Amino acid sequence: MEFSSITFLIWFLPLCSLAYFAVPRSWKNIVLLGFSLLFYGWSRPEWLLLIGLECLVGYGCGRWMDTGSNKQRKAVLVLGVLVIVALLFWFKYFNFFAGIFLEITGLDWMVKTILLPIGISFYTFQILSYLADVYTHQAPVQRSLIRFSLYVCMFFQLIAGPIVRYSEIESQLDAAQRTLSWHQTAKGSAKFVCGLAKKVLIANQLSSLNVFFRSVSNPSVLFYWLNALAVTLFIYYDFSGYSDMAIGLGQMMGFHLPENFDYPFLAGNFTGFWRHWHMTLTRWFRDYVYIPLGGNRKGKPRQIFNLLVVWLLTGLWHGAAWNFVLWGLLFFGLLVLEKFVIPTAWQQTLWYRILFIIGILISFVLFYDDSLALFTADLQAMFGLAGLPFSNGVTVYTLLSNLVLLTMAAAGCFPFWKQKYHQLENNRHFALASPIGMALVLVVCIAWLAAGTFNPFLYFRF
Amino acid sequence: MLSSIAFFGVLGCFLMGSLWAGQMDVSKSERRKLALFPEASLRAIASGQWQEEFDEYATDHTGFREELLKLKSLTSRYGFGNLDDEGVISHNNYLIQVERQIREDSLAHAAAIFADIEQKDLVDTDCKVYFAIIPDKSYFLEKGQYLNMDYEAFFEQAFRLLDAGTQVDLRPSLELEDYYYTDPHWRQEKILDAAQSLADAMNVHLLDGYTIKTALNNFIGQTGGRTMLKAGKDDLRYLWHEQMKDWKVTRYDTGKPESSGIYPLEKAQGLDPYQIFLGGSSGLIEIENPQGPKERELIVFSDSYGSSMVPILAAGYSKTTLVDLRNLPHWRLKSLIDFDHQDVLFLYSTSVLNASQSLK
Repeated sequence: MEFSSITFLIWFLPLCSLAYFAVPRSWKNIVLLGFSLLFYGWSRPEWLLLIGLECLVGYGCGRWMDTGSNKQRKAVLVLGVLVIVALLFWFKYFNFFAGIFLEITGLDWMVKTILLPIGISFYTFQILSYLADVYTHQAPVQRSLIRFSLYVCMFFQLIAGPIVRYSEIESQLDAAQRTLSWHQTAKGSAKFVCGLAKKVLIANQLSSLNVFFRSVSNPSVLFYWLNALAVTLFIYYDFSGYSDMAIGLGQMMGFHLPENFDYPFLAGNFTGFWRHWHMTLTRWFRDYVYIPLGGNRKGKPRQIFNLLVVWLLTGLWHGAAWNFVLWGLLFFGLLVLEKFVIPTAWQQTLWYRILFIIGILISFVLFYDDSLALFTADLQAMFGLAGLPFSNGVTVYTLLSNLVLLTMAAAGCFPFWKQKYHQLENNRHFALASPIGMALVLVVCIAWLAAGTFNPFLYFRF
Repeated sequence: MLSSIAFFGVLGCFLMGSLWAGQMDVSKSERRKLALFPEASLRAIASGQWQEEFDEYATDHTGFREELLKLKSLTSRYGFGNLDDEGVISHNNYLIQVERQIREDSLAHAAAIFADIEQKDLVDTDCKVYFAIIPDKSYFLEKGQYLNMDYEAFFEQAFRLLDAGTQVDLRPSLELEDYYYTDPHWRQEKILDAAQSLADAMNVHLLDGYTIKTALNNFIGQTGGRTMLKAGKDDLRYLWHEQMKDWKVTRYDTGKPESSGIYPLEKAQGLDPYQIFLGGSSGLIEIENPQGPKERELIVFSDSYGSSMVPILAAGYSKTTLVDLRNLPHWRLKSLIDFDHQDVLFLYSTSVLNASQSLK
C-alpha cells in the first residue's frame, strides 16, 4: 500500500487512527502493529512471512546477546547480521551477481522467480541497527516481541524510512512514554499534507514530464537539460515527500522520527549535499560502517578505502544494477576530490556552485536511467554531441506548459517558505487560515489521486 | 486542534462519501462502468488480487468523485498553467484531444488487417473498394500547434494502408465547425459535403431535403465530461427523411439478429448519447432500404464516426452493412458476409488508425 493512494488516505488512515486513538494505551502497540502488518501485507501477503522471520531472528539474537558471555554476544551478533544480510542478498542482489557470474563463466544460476519485497533495504538496516546498538550497549535489549516487531514494522516508516536508529526510538516503543496531544496531531497532519502535496502535486507531474520527454521523437539539447532538471526534482520531491508523510504520521501517533532532507541543493558542494540528502541513510553508513572501519583515524589511504567501501555500499543499497554502482562510485570520486584535492576556498565560489548543480543533475540522470547505454546517450545529447538543435518548438511548448510546476518545484528547494511559516505560526489570523489551507490542499491531492493520474513511487524499489 | 479537526474532518467526509458512492456503478462524465466491489476468496486475498481490485474499486468510488475530477482539471489548467489537460486542449471553444505522434506500429497493424481482408475476402470478387480517412479535430490546428503531429505525413502513410481501392480525400469537405465542441465526433448535420464526396466517388445518388431534428439539448460529449476546459455548447442533432421510416436495421451484437431503429432516440438519455446513430458500435449492422437501387449494396468498414455517416450513404443502396472490426474479428467476415459485387468502403478516423490495436 502507498500513502499516496485512495485506499490508504480514505480507508486505512481514518480507520487506523480511529482504532489507535480509541483504545487504551496498553492496546495501542497491538493496534498499531496489526494495522502495520495489514499495510505491509496488502499487495503480497506472503511477504508477511519474511518480515515475521526477520523480526524473530532480530528479537531472538537480541535476547540471546542479553544472556550470553562476551564471546557468545559477538558470535550471536555475527550470526544475526549474517542471517539478516543473507536474506537481503538473496532477495535483492542474488540475480545481479548471478548475472555477472553468467557473463564470466556462462553458467546460469539466475532465479527468475525472486521478487523484491518492498522496503526490505529499510527494515534490514533497522534490524542491523538494533543488533549493533544492543551489542555495543548503546541501547537495552528489547524484551517484548510486540515492541520489537513494532520497531521493525511501523507502517509509516516501514517501506521508505526514515531509517531510525534503535537507540533513539527505543523509549518511544513503550506506549506509556509516548505523548499524544492535539498539538502533536495538528503538527503531524500538517507535515503529512505537506509531504502528500510534494508527492502528488509536484513529483507525479515531474515524472509525467519525464515520460513525455521519452515519447518525443524530436528532442533538443535544452530538452535534455529540462529532463535532467525534472528527473532530479522528481527524485527529491518523491522521496522527501514520502519522508515528510512518514514523519507526520509518526508525529500524529506520538513518535518522533528524524528528518531525512534539509534543503540539499543549497549545500554548494557534494560533501555538504550528502549531509542534507537522505540524512538517515548517510548517518547509518557513518555509524555502522565508516566509523567501525576506522573512519579517518587510520591515515589517508585507509580513509579513502573506507570511503570507497561506504560509497560502493551506498550505490548498491539503492539498487542491484551497474548504474547504481557507478552512481555510488561517482560520489566517492567527487567526495575524495573535495576532501583532498580541491581547495576549500574554490568550493565556496559561485562557479563551483554552478558545477555542483550540473554534477548533481548528471548524477540523477545516471541514477534514474534504466541502463548505462541510455545514460551515455543522454549525456551525449546534453552536451550537444548527438547532433540535436539547441531548442525547438516541442521544447518551448513543454517549458511553457510546465513553467509553473518547475518554478514551484525550484522555489520549494529554498527554506524561505518554511521560515515564513514558522514566523507566522503565532499569528491569530494565520492560525485560522492555516487549517483551512491545509484542508484545501488535502482535497486537491485527493482529487488528483481520484482522477487516477500518474502515481509512481521510486523508493518502493529499495 | 483546528488542524487536526480539519485533517480528520476531510478524511472522514470522504470516507462517508465513499461508502455512499460505493452504490454507483457508472461514471457519467467518463462514460464508463466503475470497478465493482471485488469478490473475496482466500486465494484472491493470498495472491493480492483482491487487494488490487479493491484499490481500483476505492479509487473509482471515492466520495464526490465527479466534483473531484473537475477540481483536478481546474487545478491542472489554472493552478499549474498546464497548456493541456491530459492531452486535451481548448481551441476556439473546441475541446481537442491532440494527436502528437504518428504511431508506425499502429499503422502497420491496420495495414496487416486490411491486407488480410483484401487477400482473403475481396480477392476474385467484383467488389469495388474505396478508402477514406476522417481527420480528427487536431488536424485543423496549425501544423505543430500544441505539438500536433505532421498530418500531411500521416495521411500520406495512411493512404498506403490499402493496396487497391479508390482513395477519397475528405479533407477539403470538412472543417473544425463540422465537429462537436465537447466530443471527438463529427456532427451528422454538417457532413453532407463529405457524404457527397463519397457518393460522387462511388457513383450513387443521395437523398435531398433532410429535416434536422434535435435528440438532445446540452449534449456533453466524451471529452467534455472529463475536463473543465472552456468549451462551447453542443446539441445532438440528426438528419431525418421520410424514406428512413421504411428502413430496416438489424444488429448482430450477440450473434442473434436484433431489430433496431435507425436512430434509437432513447439512447440520448444513456451513458453515451452519440449512440442514437444506429444504436452505437456493433460488430455488424445491416440496413435494408426498400427504395434503394436493387443492384447496389454497400459494405462499410468503419469506427464510431461511421455510424453517423452510414445512414446518409444507405440511401443510395438497397442493403448497407456496417462492420466494426473493434467488435468483430476480421477472420469471421467470410462466414457472415458474401463478398460479391458490392461497393466496399473503408472509412476510418485518424485517431483509430493511429491507435489501431483495437482492430481485430
